[in-house]
Amino acid sequence: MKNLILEKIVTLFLYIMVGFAFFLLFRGHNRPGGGFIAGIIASAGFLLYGIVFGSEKVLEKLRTNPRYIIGSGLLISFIATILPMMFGNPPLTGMWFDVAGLYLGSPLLFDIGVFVLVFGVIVSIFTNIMDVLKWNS
Amino acid sequence: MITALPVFLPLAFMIFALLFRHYHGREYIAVAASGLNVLLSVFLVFKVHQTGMISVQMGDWPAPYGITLIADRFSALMVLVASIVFMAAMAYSVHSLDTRRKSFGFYMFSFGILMGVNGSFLAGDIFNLYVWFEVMLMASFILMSHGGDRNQLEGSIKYLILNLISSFLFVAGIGLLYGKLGTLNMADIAQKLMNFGTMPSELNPAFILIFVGFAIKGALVPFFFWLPASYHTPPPVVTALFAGLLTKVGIYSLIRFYTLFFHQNAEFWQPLVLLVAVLSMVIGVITATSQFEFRKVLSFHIISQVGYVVMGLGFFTVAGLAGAIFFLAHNMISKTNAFLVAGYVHKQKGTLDLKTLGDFYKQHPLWAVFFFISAFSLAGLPPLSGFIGKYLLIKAGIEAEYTIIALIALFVGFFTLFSMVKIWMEVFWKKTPENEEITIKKEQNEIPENVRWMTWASGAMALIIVLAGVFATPVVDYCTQAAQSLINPEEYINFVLKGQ
Repeated sequence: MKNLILEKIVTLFLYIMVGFAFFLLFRGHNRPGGGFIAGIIASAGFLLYGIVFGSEKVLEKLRTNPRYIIGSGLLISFIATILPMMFGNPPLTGMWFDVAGLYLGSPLLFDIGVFVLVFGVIVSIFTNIMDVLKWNS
Repeated sequence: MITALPVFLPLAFMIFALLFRHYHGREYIAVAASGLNVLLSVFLVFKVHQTGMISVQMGDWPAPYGITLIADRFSALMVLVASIVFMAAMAYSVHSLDTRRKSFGFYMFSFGILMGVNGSFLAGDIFNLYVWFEVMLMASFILMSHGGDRNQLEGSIKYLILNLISSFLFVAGIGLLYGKLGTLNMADIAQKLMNFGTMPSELNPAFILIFVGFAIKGALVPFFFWLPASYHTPPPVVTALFAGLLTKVGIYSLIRFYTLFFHQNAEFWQPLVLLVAVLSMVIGVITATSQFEFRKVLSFHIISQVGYVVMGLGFFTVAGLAGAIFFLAHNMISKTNAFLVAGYVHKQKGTLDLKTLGDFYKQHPLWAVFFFISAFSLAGLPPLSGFIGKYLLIKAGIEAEYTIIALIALFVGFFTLFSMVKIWMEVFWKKTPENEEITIKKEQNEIPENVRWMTWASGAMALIIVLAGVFATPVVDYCTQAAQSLINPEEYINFVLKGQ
């Protein structure tokens, strides 16, 4: 069954949700938001896309196996964890740098890692469930 | 700084395993990583032995607010023994596990277990401890059902449900405790309890919930049912890993909580702990004698052996605790090695039913020696490590004037010997029954024919058992020092809260 209006809206919605997820991610340090909720919202966008188009199209859109997304998310958070140890501080200590007028720190890196990890885990779960249910095929 | 590394190393391996999916020689990389972990643990033990305790505050937040990871002598020894058990299991898996399981994340989830176990040993914060328990359990759920054989799924459902209940009770207890005391740091809680003088009765529900949670995890009577129902189903190497690590973490946490919190209400807790210990020893060993499956006999013995450790804890003297620590460490190694031998028998004969096995001594004398060493170490024959452990515990019991309990422990030792001799007679000595032709089921797809790595792993463990028995003096000294710092929690509290 093909529904042109639904398909257009869902495609548009995907970009809006991913954009909003990034907004929440960067807002998260001082105000409500953060990596976890941003990951959930971004994957909700892909979930809607998958309900309409099927799980294969989601993986096509991502161009990679969710496994690697999970791995790289863990890697980013892990780097943020051990980075302070290189400078002789206990792990997970917040480190702040002044990058071109922006005040950035290792908590942001950790949050990005959480975002990527949560996104990868949820995408991996629902694409697998869709495969089992033979969604749209 | 070094305190946090036993947690980060497995995590790094898991990230590596996730990112690089198709690579050759993953088993050798896993063995190398677990070897690195052993080196790290040895370094940790030396460092702790010099200074007494080392700790690290996550994120540089000071003690009652930030999360503490702390290694004292007891936890450092546990990390070391766990790393040895883990390395043996990894080396053993090279030639005992089928390629399908290896390539679907066996190593990744094994390192997940290692991460959870190391984290639980080092945690200095009760909620953090709960999180490490969950890390360990999630990985163990996956390994328990990994491969998806029919009876394996049956076992893992029992395992999963009962362990989830125990996690639920544990976290409910933590919630109650936090609501009453407003802190989660173990040292801080202990100090607050000390300031109360007598333990306020509102805290009892929380402690009872936590105790039941640990008793389920540690497979103490009357909460042990999940263990013999599930441990004989997964591949042998997984059982060996679980037998060596998982229940022991529950017991470790019980010892930690008892010495820090429960003992301040000793007139209630000490008889309870001793009762549970005696029941576990007796019921575990008696039920084991009625079993006729290699791994089931050993699984029931886990319950009885765990009872010994809790008995030493219940005496609450320096000698009793030292014996409990030594026995815990000995049991992790001996029990794992007994399961490793069971895995070899399974690989050669395709079954573990004691009635159909036989002649193993004639066909594989080396493995008969390995089994002899580990099984009779469990039963407590000199000069093996189990003898030292039981000797210390029973001596401590008599000195603490719990003579009847010490005598019960002695009798349980005889029954253990009986079970081990039964396995020895049935599997290794008796002639193979003629009417039941051995049919080695070759459905175990793609398990390598070679056994070299299995022999090395099991042989190294057997060597450790003998050495720990013969050169026991330094180990016992170390355990005594560990027990002294456990019995005086002020040292721990001051170290965490004031950094001395």
